[in-house]
Amino acid sequence: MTRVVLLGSSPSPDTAPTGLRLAALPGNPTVAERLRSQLVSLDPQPATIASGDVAAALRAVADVAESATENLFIIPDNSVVHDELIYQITKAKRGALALIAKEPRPEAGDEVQEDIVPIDEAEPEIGMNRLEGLPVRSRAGKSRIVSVGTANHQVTRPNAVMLGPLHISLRNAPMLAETCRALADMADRFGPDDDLVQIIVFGLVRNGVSVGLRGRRDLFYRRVTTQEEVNEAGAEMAGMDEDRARLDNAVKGADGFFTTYFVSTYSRFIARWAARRGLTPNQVTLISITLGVLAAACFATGDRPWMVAGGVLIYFAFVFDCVDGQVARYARKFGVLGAWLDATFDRFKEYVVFAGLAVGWVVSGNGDDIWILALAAIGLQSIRHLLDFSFGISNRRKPPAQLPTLALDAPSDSDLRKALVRRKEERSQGVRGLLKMWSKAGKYRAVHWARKMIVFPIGERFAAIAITAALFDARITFLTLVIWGTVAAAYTLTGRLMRSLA
Amino acid sequence: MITHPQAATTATPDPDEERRRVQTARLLAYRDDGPLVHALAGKLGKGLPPVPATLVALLAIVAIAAVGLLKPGPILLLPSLIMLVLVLPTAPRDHLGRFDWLTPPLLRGAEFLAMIVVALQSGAPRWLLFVLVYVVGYHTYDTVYRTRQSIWPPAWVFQAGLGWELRLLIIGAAAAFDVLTPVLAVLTAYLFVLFAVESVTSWVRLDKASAQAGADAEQDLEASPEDALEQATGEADKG
Repeated sequence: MTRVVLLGSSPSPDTAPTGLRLAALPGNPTVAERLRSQLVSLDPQPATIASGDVAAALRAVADVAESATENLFIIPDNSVVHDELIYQITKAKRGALALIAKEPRPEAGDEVQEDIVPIDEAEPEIGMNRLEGLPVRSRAGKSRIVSVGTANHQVTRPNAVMLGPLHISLRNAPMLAETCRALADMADRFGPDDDLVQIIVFGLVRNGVSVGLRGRRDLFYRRVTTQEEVNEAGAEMAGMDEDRARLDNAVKGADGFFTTYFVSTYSRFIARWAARRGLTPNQVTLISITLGVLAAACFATGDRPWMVAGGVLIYFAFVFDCVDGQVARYARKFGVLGAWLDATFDRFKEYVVFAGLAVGWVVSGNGDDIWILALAAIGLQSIRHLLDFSFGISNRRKPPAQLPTLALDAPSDSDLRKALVRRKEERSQGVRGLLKMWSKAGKYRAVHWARKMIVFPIGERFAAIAITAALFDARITFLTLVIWGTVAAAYTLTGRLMRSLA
Repeated sequence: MITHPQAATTATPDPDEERRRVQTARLLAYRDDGPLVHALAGKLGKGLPPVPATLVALLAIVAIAAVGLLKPGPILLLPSLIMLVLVLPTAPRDHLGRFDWLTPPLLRGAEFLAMIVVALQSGAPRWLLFVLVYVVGYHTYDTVYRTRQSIWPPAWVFQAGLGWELRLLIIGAAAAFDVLTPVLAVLTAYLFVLFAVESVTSWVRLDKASAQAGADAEQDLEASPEDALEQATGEADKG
């Protein structure tokens, strides 16, 4: 659950949205009514923060944050937004996450003029540009907000605005409360055009909180103040395919090469079909297990036609294995049992196929030395998994990296900038620099995909089994698994040992 | 003992400290120490550093298998003894060192290797050995997948599962006395029933709604270690 905080209109001369109606939607609701109905499942009684006096509003936010027992979701009450966007933001795992819009980059021709000063030499400034009615006073980096200014606080190379929605995880709530109180005491330093969310993020960033960012991507968000804007927003929002965005979001990113190009291209449509027919994720898992066991049975015959059938079946077992997670995310049906079943039976499917292959080899008149290869394959794969799990623990034990801080009353962010540059230089030395270079090489597509394939992820493993078993024999399958798996283990182990050293 | 993360009775602990404690408890659970280790761990003083000791044990087993030292007979107890002598004394260590995350995979790898070289030499059915490796592996996966949703298997399962040390002792002794096949069959059947029944009953009994709330509070259940690091630190290494 989440504690929702509705912000009244910003200090800028916005009008209350109470009377604005979304004619395009069924029931002709007002903007505020619709937003409340969208948020009711998160928090039936959202905290409301009156607009007008910035200091009073900041203190009110601090009060809410202080008494919070859940994650906080802050959103202006004149927001027109897709349900799915609210869902995605509130499900984020970041300690703090802001929805932003970046200023469009200047045309290629202008860029030469514009970017003549590199960012490291750029002078801090008071952002005077506007984007969607908000002053451009934030500097967005690749994954987080680097710096925010106000009417009296300069910021280096501002390029983005905080659109409004802001998600703060419970562990950052005390910092939010403390920050808002400090900001309230200096409310006279903010201009009439500074937005409340922008001021809050200004405080958080200067206090060293890592505020993540995301854009709207394929979803709709806008703040509205006039009926004209409401009509426009209503029409534009209705023209976007929210269901498709939801479906696309159900597909896990960062998958391997095989999964991305030979499964994820269409698995989402099976997921949607299954979800609409009311299949639960666990039922899909069951389909996948059945296919896996059938594949093992086919392999166990040792006959060529059956081996081919087994290869096809194991491929579809993997497809449905991807689909179950997508159904869970699309239908928003998560369960501890489902997560466990999925993971446990992934392993079962893989290893039962090993057994099937070995049996098939012996049945078709070969010696039972094949079991030694099967043992090597299962042992290696289990240990590779355990390497992943254990390294994950070592990462989770690390203290979170500290970001540099800056006094709230510092007139410009140049000291923050300098501290960040220093930090970056420190981190680019020795082993860390080497690791950084290696991760930067990921911008080349070939390197990116080669790196994904070398670790021999689940998609590649199932594909390797399907292809080698269908075309060759069990021996080739196990040799492929053992050799590729050994290379993968050596590669990941090298990287992780270096990371442990860094 | 498996240190089950208890609800904090004192004032709210530092979240960083708490996270480190729970994660270390998980790492120790992945070792899958059994009753013998728990009985002796307190009496071994400071103990041996886990990663070097386990690595030496693993290499020693590889070496004796490679030079053909393992022949049917009492010598088949040797791999198990190497493990006991070198790895058991690592139990008292806190496993907080920067490379100590390597212990569970090294330990499980050495356990599997010892099992396999001994059983292959004593002529036990190979498919049975495959099933045993799967059953022991299942127990480790089960520990991982449950604890990452903050649902801890009860401590008695780790005891009843005999731990790596008793499993290896039983296999080594049975091979030395040339009765490995029946012993392997009984051991595999026993562990299979134990782990399967315990998993199923615990899922049936679990209050799934409250467990879900606990799991939701955990961070990044599905993220790969590298992604989790990126999320936790706010550091994106994407070029």
